[in-house]
Order: sequence, then structure tokens, then C-alpha cells
Amino acid sequence: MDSQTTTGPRAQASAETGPARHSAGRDSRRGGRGGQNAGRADGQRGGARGGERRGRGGRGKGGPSGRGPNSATDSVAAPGHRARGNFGTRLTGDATQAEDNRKVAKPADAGAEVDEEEDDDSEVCFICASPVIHQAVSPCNHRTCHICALRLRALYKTKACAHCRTNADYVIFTDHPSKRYEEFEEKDFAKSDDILGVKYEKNEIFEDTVLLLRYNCPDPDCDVACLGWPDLHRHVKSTHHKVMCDLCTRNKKVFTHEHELFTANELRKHERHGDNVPGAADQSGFKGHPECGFCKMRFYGDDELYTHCRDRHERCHLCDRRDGLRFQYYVNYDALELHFKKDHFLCPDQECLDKKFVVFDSEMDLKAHQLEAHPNGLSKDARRDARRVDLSTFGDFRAPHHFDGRSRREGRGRGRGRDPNSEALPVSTAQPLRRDEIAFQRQRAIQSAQSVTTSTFGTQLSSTEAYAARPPPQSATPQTVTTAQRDDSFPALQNLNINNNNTPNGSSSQPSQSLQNLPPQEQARRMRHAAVTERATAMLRNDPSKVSQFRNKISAFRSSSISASELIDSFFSLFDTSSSELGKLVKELADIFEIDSKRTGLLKAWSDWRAINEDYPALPGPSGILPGASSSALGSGGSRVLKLKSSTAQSSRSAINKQNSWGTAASPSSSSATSSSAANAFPALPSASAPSSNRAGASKSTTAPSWAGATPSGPAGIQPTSSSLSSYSRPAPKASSRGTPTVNSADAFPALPAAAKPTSTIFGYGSGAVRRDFGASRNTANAWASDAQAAADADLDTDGAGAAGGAGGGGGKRKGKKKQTLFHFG
Amino acid sequence: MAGSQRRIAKELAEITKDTPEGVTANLVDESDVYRWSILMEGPEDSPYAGGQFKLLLTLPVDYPFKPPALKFETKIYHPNVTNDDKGAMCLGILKSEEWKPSSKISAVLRTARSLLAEPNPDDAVETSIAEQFKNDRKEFERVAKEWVTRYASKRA
Repeated sequence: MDSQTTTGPRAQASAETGPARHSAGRDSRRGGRGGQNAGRADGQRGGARGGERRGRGGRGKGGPSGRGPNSATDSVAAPGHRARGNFGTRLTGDATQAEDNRKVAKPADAGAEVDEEEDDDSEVCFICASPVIHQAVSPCNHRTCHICALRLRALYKTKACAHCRTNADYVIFTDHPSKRYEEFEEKDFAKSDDILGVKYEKNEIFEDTVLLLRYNCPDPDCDVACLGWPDLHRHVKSTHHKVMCDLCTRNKKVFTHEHELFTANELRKHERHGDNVPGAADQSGFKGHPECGFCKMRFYGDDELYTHCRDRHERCHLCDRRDGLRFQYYVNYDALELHFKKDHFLCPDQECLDKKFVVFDSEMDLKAHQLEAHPNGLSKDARRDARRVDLSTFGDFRAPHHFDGRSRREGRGRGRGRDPNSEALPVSTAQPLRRDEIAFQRQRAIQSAQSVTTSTFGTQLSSTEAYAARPPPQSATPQTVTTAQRDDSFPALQNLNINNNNTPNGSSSQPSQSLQNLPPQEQARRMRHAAVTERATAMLRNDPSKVSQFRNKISAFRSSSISASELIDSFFSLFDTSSSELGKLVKELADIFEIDSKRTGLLKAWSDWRAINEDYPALPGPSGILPGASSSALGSGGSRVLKLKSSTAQSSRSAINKQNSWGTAASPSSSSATSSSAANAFPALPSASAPSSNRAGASKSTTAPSWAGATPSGPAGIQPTSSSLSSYSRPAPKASSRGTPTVNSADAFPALPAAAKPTSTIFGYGSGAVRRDFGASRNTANAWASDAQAAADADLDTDGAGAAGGAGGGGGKRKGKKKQTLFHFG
Repeated sequence: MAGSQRRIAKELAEITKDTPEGVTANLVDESDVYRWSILMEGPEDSPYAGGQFKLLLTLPVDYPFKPPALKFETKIYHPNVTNDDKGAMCLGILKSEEWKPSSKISAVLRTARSLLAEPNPDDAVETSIAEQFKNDRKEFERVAKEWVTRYASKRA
């Protein structure tokens, strides 16, 4: 890399190549002058400058002595000038560059420059203050340079006039200095672009405009125009050994050639801190791309980060309501639920857990909800307890953690059937408080109790581990839970399964259920097939010929007469739909392939296809001119970042997890993939490859003995040998104990058929997980066992602790896994 | 994008030459044209008369296609300026849906100063101050003046 002085002008030129390129047309029209410049550019700094400023150089403004700061830059720029001298059409690059140099000096000697400024006004765009090459006239007869107009229309996607915000369907690009919009007639236009809404007076203006929209290499000395973003990235890398900032190329509203080239180190700096070099001529004021602390992903700006967090992470609405918007996020609903359990009053009823967000500010609200929503789930005693309002605790807000134990003890002492209020009052000297006051007091107590642990967004993000690591407070689970609810917090896989099937009964009913509908795997397989066909048919708008074409392609692929990538290509031509829709179909389709290599191949082909065709936003522009413009819009961002970032997963665990998942199934997102990896690990298990078999398999293998006895059984003996399973194993206890089976994953993978997913995912992991953990470590088993005993004491808090603790390891793991799946298909 | 720099440099030159009344503008840091330090005098016939307010004008990288942001670094009792450490000023022309690339910084500063002279309680960010401004002008002016003495006096 050269010294600062040499990079200065180059960088300027890179930012200015826009005008430079566009002035190509102008230059050719002024051929004579161009030639003159070529001659002068050779080393004659002042002369070149003067010549380009349209012959005004003779007025001798600003001799070298007048601009000290510039002389260094100029002299270094000279070689560049000479180089360009060989390239006739690009001569005016010097003009803009000289212009730029002049401006750089301005803050220093603005006074001296002012009169020059005046001279320029006639030919400088009001908006960008750059020399006007072609004019853009809008119906309101406001004028800008054609670059500003194009910038607004093509990049900012607005058709509003830069001066008055009047929307204009068309603007006219012209060289006529004063002709009014309405004076133009249709015959005056050489070309018209209906997408951008531009009418071109001359063909060369059109060419200049199109030139701007090409995938031009940002290197100022390179005139390569690439076919698309991937091509440009490749070119930049191979030819210039530089990279472009992915986030910028996706989001920054500049023309392709205005992007910057970085070395790997520069890019890192750019992402983290921005590349604002104080005093540098090309400073951008940019301060870096903000990062999501959970995902270790960067986003273009704060707005994008906010959108990501809003969509992918959770915020506690109770805390938000209480403290105002603190922008504290939880990595996912599981983490948020832990927070609910810990700091608020989460309804532990499975139905409500499934519903999510059934959580209350105060215990009273929770009790009221429980009485109202599920009175049947409570025993008679519990119902009585729930109805009791223990005012004695209201005076003791600073110790909310004693709340439950004490009230329970007192409750017993007081005997049954008496009005709790009548005797509670004497205990507490406090007057009865209104509900909201009580809630407020409690919240304050909780808040002060948690103030050490809660952190605001940006400094430290709360994660599942963080919560799992903390002992849950006693008050987290109200005392009113009954046996049915204990099952919820106890990591009972069967229970979970049942709930997913909407048969909330005792766990004992589980085995019989799985036998009920004869071969569930067959059933689920049919459902999957039907789902794929249905989706495809819908996407093809019921066109029978296309549907049959679709079927033919698939059978061709199945019989290996076409490759996976050919199949994807044919899909792309067959389906006139967005790539995300197509992605859903491909993933569903992959699920129904029972041959692992086919599925892997298909998914791989799909990600390859997407990497090439979808990941880069197409620059808007006249269609047909822009090569390689894919159907994806700017909005589809992110996915490639995700993919990139996934390769540098933050924790070694998740890295392992990722590797394994790729190694075994290469399609970790789908439920069938899970099962398939299980199938790989357990070749002995029958029918494991069929997606729906998970449940059956699970119900077979996950039986009570495996929990209680913790003896490695037959299959468990196999299991530890497979490292891939170990990576899956940890999520399981958490997933099940959490009792939040599906909605998250459903959100992430909307395409998956609803029926099979929850069970299969959890059981695919669960069966392996549980047994391996137990086989490997007695301690873990004991932890669970003690949980069970504790549960007998009807002390659910310990359960929660055990569950959380046991899941602690899995928390991160699961997170990793989840994220990783997002990477692939998000 | 050097395009924004060019435009900003031009505007800075214009403002240096033709300063809006009661306003001085300088770069916070000579080498950074994206942050302007503004000194604004309270308009004569307003409660802010005699006060000098320090403002920070931040220009986005894609100025002038995106609006600048203006915030009061000196505390001010005003219905349109948030009464927190941000001191954000709610100025119509700075809203992204109202911003025009043709709007100039000098116009922004003029508008900001005229908002000091005439607060706009219907577009307030501090509703309680707006209420007071509408219903109890005397008290509003008293507090505003008190704040000027406390925070915005030139000697300080």
C-alpha cells in the first residue's frame, strides 16, 4: 500500500468515477478538447486542471501557491493522469478529480474559493454540487444533474423531485439548458425507460445512464463491468485482491462503482469502526456496522439491527411496559420464557406455555388467570389457595423471594375455608392496596433484585446460559401448581409429545397413542408428499401441464437421470415465483427423499444456486440491460451474511454442532433431517429414515427406565460412538423441559408441514440425548433424580432449577443449533 | 461518497459567507465535515433572548438525500426540544418524509431559530411544556427564562 498521499487521490477518483464515466460522452463530443487535455495531462498539473475546467484555466485562479494542501496531492496524482491520458474516453476523470482536490482544500481556505464557487454555480448541480453532465428535468421543471435524478429513482426508489418532492412518473434527461418539460414532445426522445421513468433526449445520454447502472468495478483504474454481484466480487478478489463490504453492497445507496474496495483487514475495520479517517479526503462519516450480540452478525445500520432484533429476538413486554423501552433482548422465546419464569409470573399450564406470552406482572394476576382459564387443572386445595390473597406479604416487598414459602406456611396454619382477607389484615399493618399498586411494588422489588443481573442492550446481552446459570428464585413458580403442571416443568418428553398432539393427559397414555394410528411414519410420509404436491400445484397455479412437468423432473432426479443442480435450474424456469417460495418447496421436497445422498445433493444444489443467483440484490435498471439480474430484491439481504457468519460460529460447540450436522445430514433445519441424522447414527433403528418415525422411535426408546435407571440400554450403547448425536443430545432436555415445542421452529421454517415437526424434532434429539447423558455421567442422572424427588414434595421451583440447570449446557447448544439452521435457510 | 462532501463543503462555504442571523456554524473538527457545531443566540423578543445555545448538527453519509439531525447540547425549556440528554429538536423539515434534498443547512438553522421564537405546541415532543405554553404562557416564559439564565447564559 502506498503512503497516505498517494491513496488520497485514488480514493477520490474511486468515489468520483461516476461523473468521470459519464463524462465520457461529453468528452467525445468535445473531442478536440479531450485531445488537448491528453497532451496537457502529462505532468502539467496546472495546465491539466485549467483545461478541464472548460478553458477557464487561463484566468489563473488558484496558482499552486494558493493551495498548499493540494500540491502534494496533485503531484502525486500526476501519474494517474498520465495513465488515463492513454484512455481517451475517460479523460474527464481528471476534471472531477481536480474538482475534488479543490474542494478538499475548502475548509482550509474557503474564502479564497468562494469566487470560484460562484463561477461554478451555473454548471454545478444544486443537489450534489458536482458539475452537471446531463440535466434532468421533471414535470415541475426543476432541474438536477442526471446522476442525482438517477440516484433518487434507481437507488432511493423515489420518484419525488429533489427540489419540491412532487412525484413524477417521468423525468427527461437532456442536454438542453433551459427547455421546459412540457415543451418536449414524444418525438424528441431517443429512448425511454419505463421502469426508472426516464426519457432520454439523446442516445448518448441513455448510454451514459446505463453505464452508471452497470456492475462497474470500483477500482478507479479498472474499467471492467461485471455481470452481476457475484461476478464483481470474484473480479475484485482475483484481479485486485480486494473485497467489498457485503453489507454496503446490499444496502448502501450508491452506484456500484462508488463502493469501496478493502483489504481483509480494512474490511474488518470498516465493519467494526467504520472507515472514517479524520482529515482524509474521502472520509465518509461512517462509524461501522452494528452487530447483533446474539448472532454475531452485523447489520448495515441501526435500523437494520433493530429490525433483526425485532424479528428474530424477543423482548419482554412486561419489562418494557414497566421501565420504558430498554431494548433488552432475549435470544429467543426460550430465553424469554426463562426470564418470564424467573422475573414474572408465567402460567405453567401447558396450554398457555404453548400459547406463549401468558405471563403476568403479579402473582395475583396469574392466579386470577388460572382460576378463570383452567380451574380444572387445579386441585380443590390449589383452587382455594389460588383464590387466597395473602395480604401479609404486601408489606414485605423487599423480600419477594420469601413470598411463596411463607404464604404457604401461613395458609396452612390458618386452616381451610376461612376468609383469608379477614385474618390477613391484622398480620399486615398495611392498608389494602389497589391491584396496580401492588403490582407496582412487586415490580420494584423484583427490579431491584434483578438489577445486578439485567443488562441493557449493547453492553451485554442476556442469553439462555446467563439465565440458566442463575438459580431461579423461589417465587418464579407459584405454589398453586398441581401435579399436572409439575409435568410441564419436569422434562417429560412424553408429556410434551402429547401436548403437541392436543391430548393433554397423563404421560402414561403416550405409548398407546403412538400405536393408535397404525404406521405413523407412513401417514406422515403421505402428508409430506401431499404437502409438496400441494405447494407445487399452488405455485404453478394449477397448471396441469406444468405440474406434470414438475413430477417428471422429480422422477428424473430420483432415477438420477438429471443432477440436483439441473433439477433446481428446471424448477427456476418452471416456477415463476420468488426464490424464497422456491426454497420452501425445495426443502420440502428434500424432506421426502429418503435416500440421503439425494436429499443432501438437492439441498446443496439449492444453496449453491441461491449463493449465485439470489444473494445479491440486483441493481435496478432497464431490464435486459442488466445482466444477471435475479428476481430477488434488496430485501432478501442477510441470508448470505448469515451463511458467511455461520462459518465463523462463535462457540466451538456450535461449530462442532454445525459440522456434525453437515457431516451427517446436511439439512439440519428440517425435521426429517434430524431424523435422518438419527438414522445415520442408529442404522439399526428401523424406519428411522421416514420422517414421522421419530415419534414412534421416541416413544419406544424414551421410556421411563431411561430416565429413572439411567442405564445405558442397547441403543444407548451405540450412541456415544457417534459424535454427531452427542451434539444433538444436549438440546433435548432443555427443549423438552421448556415445554415450548414448536412455534419458534415453525416461525423459522414456515414451510414444514405442521403435524410431524414438533414431535420429530424434539424426539429425534430427545431419545438420543437423554440416554447418552445418563450413560455418560451419573451426576447428571442424579440431578434429574433429585428433581423427581423434589417434585414429589410439590416444590416446583427445584424442578425448574433442575430443568434449567440440566438444560444449561443445552441452552447454548440449542441456540447454536437453531442459529445454524437459520443460517442455512433463513 | 464524496458527493455528500462536495455538497456539504459548498454549504459550509455559503454559511460562512452568508451566516443566518444569530447563528454561527463551525465544524466540530476541521477534518470532519459531517459534524457541525452551531451556536445559536436566543431570538430577541423570545424568552430565550440573551441566551446562547450550543447545538450539534450531524449530517448523514448520504446527505443531502437523507436529512441532517439537530440536537441541543445546551438545555432548553421548549416544547419542541426533548428535555433529556439528547436534546433532540423536532423540526418539520428534518423529518425524513418532509426532507427535500434541496433543503439547505442554512434553511434548517433558520427554521430552528424561528422555532425558538415561535414554539409549535401542536407538534411538541414535550407535551407538558406544550400544555403550559398554551395555557399558562407567563409561567412558561418564566421557566424558560430561568433555564436560560441557568444553562444558556453567555458568560458560562
